[in-house]
Amino acid sequence: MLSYIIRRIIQAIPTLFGVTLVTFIVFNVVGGDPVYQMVGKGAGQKEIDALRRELGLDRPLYQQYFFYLKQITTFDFGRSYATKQKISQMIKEGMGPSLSLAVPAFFFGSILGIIISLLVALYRGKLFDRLTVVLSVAGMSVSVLAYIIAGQYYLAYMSGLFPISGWEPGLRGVPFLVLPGLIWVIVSLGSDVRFFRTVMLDEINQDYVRTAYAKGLGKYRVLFRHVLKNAMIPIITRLVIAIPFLYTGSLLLENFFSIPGLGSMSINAINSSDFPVIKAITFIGALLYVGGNIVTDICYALADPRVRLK
Amino acid sequence: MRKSKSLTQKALTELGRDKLAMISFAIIAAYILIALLIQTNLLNLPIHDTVGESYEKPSWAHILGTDIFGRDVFIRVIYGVKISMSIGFITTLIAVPIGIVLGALAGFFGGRIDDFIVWIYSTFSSIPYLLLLLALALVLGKGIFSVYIALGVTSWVGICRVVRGEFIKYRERDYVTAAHALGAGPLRIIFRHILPNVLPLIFINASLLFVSAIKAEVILSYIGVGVQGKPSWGNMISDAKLELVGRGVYWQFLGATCAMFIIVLAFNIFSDALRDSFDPRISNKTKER
Amino acid sequence: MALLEIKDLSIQFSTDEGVLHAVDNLNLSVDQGKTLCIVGESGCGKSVTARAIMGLLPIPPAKITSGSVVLDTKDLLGLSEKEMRALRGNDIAMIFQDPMTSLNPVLTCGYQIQESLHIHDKITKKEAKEKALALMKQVGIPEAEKRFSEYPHQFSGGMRQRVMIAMALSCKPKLLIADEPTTALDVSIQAQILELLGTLKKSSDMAMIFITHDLGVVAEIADEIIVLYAGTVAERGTTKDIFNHAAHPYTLGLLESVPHISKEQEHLTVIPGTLPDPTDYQPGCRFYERCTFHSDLCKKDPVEEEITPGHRVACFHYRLKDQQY
Repeated sequence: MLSYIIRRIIQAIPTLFGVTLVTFIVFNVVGGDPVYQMVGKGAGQKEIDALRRELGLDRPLYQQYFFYLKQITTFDFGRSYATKQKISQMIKEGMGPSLSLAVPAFFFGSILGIIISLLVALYRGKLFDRLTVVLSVAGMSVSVLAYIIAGQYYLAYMSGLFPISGWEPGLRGVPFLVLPGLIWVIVSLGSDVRFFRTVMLDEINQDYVRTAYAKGLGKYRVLFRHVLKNAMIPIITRLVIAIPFLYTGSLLLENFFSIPGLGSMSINAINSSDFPVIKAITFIGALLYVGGNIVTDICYALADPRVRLK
Repeated sequence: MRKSKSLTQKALTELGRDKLAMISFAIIAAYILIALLIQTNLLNLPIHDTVGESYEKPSWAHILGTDIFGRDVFIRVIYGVKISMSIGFITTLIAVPIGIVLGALAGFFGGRIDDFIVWIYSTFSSIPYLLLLLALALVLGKGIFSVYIALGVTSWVGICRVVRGEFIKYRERDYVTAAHALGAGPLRIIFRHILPNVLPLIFINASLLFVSAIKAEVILSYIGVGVQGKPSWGNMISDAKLELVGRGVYWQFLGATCAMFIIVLAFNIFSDALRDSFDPRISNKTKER
Repeated sequence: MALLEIKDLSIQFSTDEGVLHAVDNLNLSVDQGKTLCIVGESGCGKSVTARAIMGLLPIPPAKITSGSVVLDTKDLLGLSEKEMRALRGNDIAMIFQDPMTSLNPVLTCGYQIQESLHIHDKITKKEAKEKALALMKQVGIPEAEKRFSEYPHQFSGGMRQRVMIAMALSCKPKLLIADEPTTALDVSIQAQILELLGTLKKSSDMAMIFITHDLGVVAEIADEIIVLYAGTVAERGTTKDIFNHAAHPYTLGLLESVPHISKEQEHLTVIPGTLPDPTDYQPGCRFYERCTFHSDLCKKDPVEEEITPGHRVACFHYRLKDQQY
């Protein structure tokens, strides 16, 4: 098992290297020079050159790339162009609010999705199943932005059921997180349920289910003892793959509800062309994704007895 | 025994019988027609004309009311069809060929080429999609052209992965070996013998890609790196953030959301039906049961 | 008295292509301790019949349009789902064709064997485990203690089928239905499994319905044989009747397509043609198109005629053929 994990980690290195290349190309080669935008109109050439030197943008590209690699390996991403804060510090501070929204929303959303798909498996072909399919396809067809705007306007602004926006650390922050969390669940439920349903129905048609019925098991026992355990393998995979993306939270939700997380931070950075911040967030996102993939494979090995042999 | 039809024919007959899928297909065709009419100036929409007061409520004259400058919202929503369809279309046009070519090369030749292409796409799929998309749209400069490129460059991965998987599967088939033995070159085998079998899957994935491009435009427009100066659905939905609060102006939001909902729903239903009719596993199952 | 008696059973499926007649007016009975083999090509209705007995037909699209399935004195078709569940795996058990996919990949074989014991007999975990271990030994799984906690993929094909058999036997069923239990296995393993089933049958008093498309495997195990063709009975009789005095042209065709080691054969005969479309049966004998003896007589529906006691054939021409062979 340990050698398997080590092998997977070594396999991930080229991918991470690729990520550094892509982000570098996007920001330093295609993106070019953010200095003009930073100094504003009417700045003298001297000023521009000075800033450029300060940011290291006057050096040849290969040197800039090695500098970037050094930043990554030391987890020191320099300072934000816009706020002059240390980026590592900003990310550390932003992670808490992001996770406080993302983790509970993700958790409840996934559980709800699994419960609904189990019910669908029980009532396959009946009204509940059809209704679920219709609702999830319809739900997936509405823009995320429409959910957020309508949710915030009708549930917070008009009815006053929830605070409009804001964030506070600790338990006092809970009321602020309910509505964005709810919207998160609704947005993700459509595609989750559709996926889980396909998985469940796929399993229900397997031969071993027929065997289980032939033993005289009732449908609940077949579903919970036999089907669920098999269905959990693809379900876990999908969920674990989604986990790394939790750290950026939802860019839009955080922005709309003024949650000072990494999502808001990314949007602010994009609005102010704050390249180092976006670069850092993007790279850490990719790092977590690659790590998440390794965790997925390990979960796989734990949930599926067939994997252990390989 | 009745005469057996080809798999594609059978699938298409099945699809033709599916009423919901046919309605969806009609909706998609109607949207495409509107987009083409606007694009070719056969339908000239007065999107910049002031027709009334600022923020007039929906009425018989203007069924979706007017916007801040007194322009007819319904006309602008219709114009949005062209923007959305062009974004969906051009994104697909960029991403699908990249995906097919890379996927086919990787799956067919294997070895080093495969390793290299898998490396490229696993790199792209590791980067948080929305961040990469926003960053690309930002560095390419604002405007619809950047939206096309940014979406195209970020969305080929799914198709590439599917095509590669299928090519690996078909590479080992007997008829492909037979074609090799008859001296067919790799290009001929790829395009003549394997690709036609993969086309239904590509088609399904392309229509999903189309949908996600239309949805992504809204987010890009909200962040401010989207379509500029044109009435796109994304711009109209984003404006609602300011219009709803205090003024209660819902019509622009409603019009754009509904117009988008209908086409995305049609695409979702259609690609589902397409998948069902082409998936031999599913169709066998329904017959068995 | 027969343990299981099926009378006049007809099963239809509604499909996109129309109503499919899977089984038409089937009659059969199995006595305690006897083995009945149902032989026929795929699509002849043999597996559908097995599922109808188990109450595992998917309804809809399947529909039982007539008939009765009586076990002891109970008509199974009239039972509620709950009553049927109490019988399944308990009084009637079933083993399936592909032991690879028929076992749950994420549960241990031991668990799967003792599961029916849990459900049907109220016994403790420890007793269930002991019983399961005994069963594993009985069906010839070596190192039962070790293999108890192993997963299906760790077993070979033949061993998996032994697990299936142990599972089916766990509650000492009165009737065991084996649906092509050897088809997915290697020839050498096939023989072992057949031998095992033969031994088990002798040591217990259970009745068995053995379903196969391969007449070759039934000789050693069958007491009686029913040859099904396109949802109807072509011929039935004892093993001796069928192997030595086959009367239906279809049975003869099946026999000729079985390879014999003893006889020297140039090549195997194959029955020409395919099964008729089950959604569109024409009146008359369903074997008409493929039969070398067919005549205008065959445009009437054939009825089973008794040749010798117990040996019946649904063909107008059997006497004619007797002269030729």
